Amino acid sequence: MTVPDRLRARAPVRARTRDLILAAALLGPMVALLAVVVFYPLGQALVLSVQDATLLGVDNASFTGLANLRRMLDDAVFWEATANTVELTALSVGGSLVVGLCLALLLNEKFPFRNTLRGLALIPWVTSGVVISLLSLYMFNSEVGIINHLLTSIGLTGDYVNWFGSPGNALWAIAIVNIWHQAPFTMLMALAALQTVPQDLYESARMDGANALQQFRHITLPGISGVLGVVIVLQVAWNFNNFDLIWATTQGGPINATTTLGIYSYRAAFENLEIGYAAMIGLVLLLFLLGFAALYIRFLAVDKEES
Amino acid sequence: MNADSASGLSRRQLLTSTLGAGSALLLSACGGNSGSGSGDPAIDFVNWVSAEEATRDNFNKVLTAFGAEHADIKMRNVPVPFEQMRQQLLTSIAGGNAPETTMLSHSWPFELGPKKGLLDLWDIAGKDYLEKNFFPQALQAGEYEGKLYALPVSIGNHGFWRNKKLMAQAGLDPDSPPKTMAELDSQMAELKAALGKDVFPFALDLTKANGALTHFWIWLRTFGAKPLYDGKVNFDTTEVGDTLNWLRALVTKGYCPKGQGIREERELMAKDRIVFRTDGPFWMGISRAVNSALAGNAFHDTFAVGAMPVGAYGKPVTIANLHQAGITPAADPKKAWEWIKFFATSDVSIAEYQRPQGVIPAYLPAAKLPETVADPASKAFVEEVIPTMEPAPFSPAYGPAQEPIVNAMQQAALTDTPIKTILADTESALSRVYGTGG
Repeated sequence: MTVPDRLRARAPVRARTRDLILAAALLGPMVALLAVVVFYPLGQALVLSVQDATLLGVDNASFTGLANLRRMLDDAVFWEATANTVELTALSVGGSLVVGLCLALLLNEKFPFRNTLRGLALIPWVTSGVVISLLSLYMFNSEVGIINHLLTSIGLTGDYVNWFGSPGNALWAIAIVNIWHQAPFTMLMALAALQTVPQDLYESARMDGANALQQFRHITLPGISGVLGVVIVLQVAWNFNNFDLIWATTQGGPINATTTLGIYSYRAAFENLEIGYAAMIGLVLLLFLLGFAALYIRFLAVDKEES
Repeated sequence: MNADSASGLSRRQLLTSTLGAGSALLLSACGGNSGSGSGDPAIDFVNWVSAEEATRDNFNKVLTAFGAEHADIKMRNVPVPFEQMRQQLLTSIAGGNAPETTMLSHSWPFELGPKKGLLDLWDIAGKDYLEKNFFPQALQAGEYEGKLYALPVSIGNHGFWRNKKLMAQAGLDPDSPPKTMAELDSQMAELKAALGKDVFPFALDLTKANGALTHFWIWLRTFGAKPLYDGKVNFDTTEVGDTLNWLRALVTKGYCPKGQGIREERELMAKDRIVFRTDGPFWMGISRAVNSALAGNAFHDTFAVGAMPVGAYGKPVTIANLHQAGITPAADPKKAWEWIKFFATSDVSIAEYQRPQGVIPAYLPAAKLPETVADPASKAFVEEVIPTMEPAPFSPAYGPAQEPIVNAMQQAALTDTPIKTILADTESALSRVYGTGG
């Protein structure tokens, strides 16, 4: 018995329709979830950003066009917050990259208790942000903190340093805590990447008379640069969004010295109750982060191609 | 073998389950709160005291006693840490999900009340009853434009505390605290010279908005400054300038530790490293928690409290700092009033919750009881400090006004920016907040 042509043509169409329905059913809940928790709030934020909405008067908000954007561009604190965000991100990412890479190189060598040390080095990274914040408040306390005690004990400073309470030191103190918190992540990723660098390259280089620095520059660094790129992009995004540590330690002070875009947006929304203006600041932050997300995806694609 | 059969599910079953799970997820995401506004008869009471270990058990005694006396009213306790209270209240009320009753403090009644987030208690409880039974200054602290949005529960306004042992150690008479600002300045100089760099004659929190302003406003008023009162900015004035100059001198002369928040300052004071500080009556309990050597009478041997030194204002002054309670429009006003009245005035609340906390009841009959003023510090609060209490300049604009003022304080204390510039810049920033130009 032969299958009629008409039916033979229908079979793949039916199968494709079934697949489409199944795909829609499988993806539907996730798309619906994203619509509820991501796209709807994002749409609301867009709407709020062009309104004079206050937290207790959202229903009575009126359309103000680009007034919030103009205000933001004229707002000295917004520019200060942008500069602080960039500075803190650069310090934290740069610092954790250097420290993390050094730790990875050190822990890549063979010595007793290496695995134990690798585990211990991860502790700051797995500790919760709130605990880190509270710990750092005590450690950097100008009167009773261990950091000042150590610095004066070894004679690095003559007097106690006012860390979180000084406009000149507060951002540095937060960056130091960030580096301590984030360096283990860089270490972990770099350590994993180091395992993929072929050992025969080092042997050849040594035979050619390359010293350790040259081996690092011409073999190690190119070998792990893809992973480091991903780490940098991820950490930039995390640091741009950093909130808990700053809020718990300085709340953006003193005199806005640690006010970042995230903190400024929060203050605009929940202290000043200007939810429309806060939404506009939030959108700027979102644009920055989308840029880094695009970079991240690009890095992943390049990494995949290379491998 | 296809994937479906491998998992033991037919394609149809998988489809149905997935759709079912998705619908459930959507429904749960879109569903409202099961509590307020959904016909649930329970009265929510949002508060921070049941979120804090020190007060949780005593507060629960009040709640249990209320339940025993009012079988017809079901209460639901909603603990929220103090730092998150304002934000959670604002967002829940803004989202149409208000609790029926809530604890209040600071400027919250003034932010919520005029936006129809709180009910007028004059209407619910009657003006006569309230005026007859509560400290008038405490009622004033919850009133805005003729409406009472907050019932005063307990008074924690600040008095001028001193460490008597350190004063004696420096050769000062511990029973003669500074009565004027000139005496305070002179005593601080003597204390600094006698006690060395590890002890600070004075402490003032310069770090975060809430703590910093609660303390600083008292000094602004002492110098005769009156910024933000009556809807006027009034920051660029001689009196505010004098206060900022005094603050700068405190820091440059090393009288006041830098970078210490209220918690750290309290620890330092409990460990004999600070001589003078403003704090509420609850300092008694806090100091004992920090330093167990201060238990019992040891506290009163070490610390004493009195009214503020007199400055250009011409009389001692302190600012109202209260724990209050309010009712939102989501509530059945009668039942909600029964609860907040019980919370403020019942014997069990006074004896088991308020007095052990070290606060002074705002309910007059209880404040006058001998048990309330049994110790010298509480007696000083009731007799000397509370009568000097004035309301803070709270208004719906006070929230956004805090940041420029804290910045001004920090600039005066931590930088060498000319005071004139600080005054002018802050005046301008506050004028924008108050919509009065700038």
